[in-house]
Amino acid sequence: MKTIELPASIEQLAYINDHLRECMTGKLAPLLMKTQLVVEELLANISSYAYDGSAGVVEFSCGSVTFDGKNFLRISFLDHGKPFDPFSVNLDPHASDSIDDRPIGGLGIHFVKTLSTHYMYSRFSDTNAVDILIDASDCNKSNEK
Amino acid sequence: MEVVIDDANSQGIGIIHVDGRIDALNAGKFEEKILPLCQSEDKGFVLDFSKLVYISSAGLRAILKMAKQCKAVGKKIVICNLASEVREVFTISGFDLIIKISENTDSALSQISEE
Repeated sequence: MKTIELPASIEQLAYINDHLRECMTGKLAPLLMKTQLVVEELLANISSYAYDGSAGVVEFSCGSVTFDGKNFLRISFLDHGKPFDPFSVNLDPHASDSIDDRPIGGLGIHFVKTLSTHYMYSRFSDTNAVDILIDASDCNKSNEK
Repeated sequence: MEVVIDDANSQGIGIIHVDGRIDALNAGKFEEKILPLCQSEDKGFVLDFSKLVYISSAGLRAILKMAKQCKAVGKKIVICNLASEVREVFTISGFDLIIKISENTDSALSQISEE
């Protein structure tokens, strides 16, 4: 997996999307939109909260892995901001069918949780690590046809 | 992203055509274009997303703001012509529970006219 280090800013989204388009050709291409969505929401979260408005960096990597013998796309973000587990935020967007009751924010991490097969947060030293696995087994099946 | 607003139809319903992607980089511009429409003379709006290829939570926030503002002044909005991957985003977000989604533009216009 290739790792790129970037300023922890949402302005880097276009660059990361270009990187994803280059990496996710061939059998991984069907996962591109889902992956872009997960990556955008995580980058937005780090950009907004990790460094409290100060400059900081984020390390991003993406690539194919096997886990328990199955194929996955792995996305990883590392930042060195304040400790924060994004998955501690819970939102049930199906809890109400009223526009008035619906909060404006909070959907991003719900997207990440829903679109990921596995998601993991860890904190070590001064680093927040977020790891995402997205099931890529269907991609391999379609490639075999 | 390109937004074209067609409010010349005889039913007094604005049709908002969106082309491309709505993400965190351009959702602010999208919001600036659609929110003022809530104060227009139109009685409702159809959001035609036939050419929308990607939307994230940033874009959904703009739509939710518009839906809240329109509801406050008695205007209806209906979304139509969603591609399957974009529709999945609306389903995951639960937006299909709070905003009407129609298969095509004609049925979207009918839903607003009939109410």
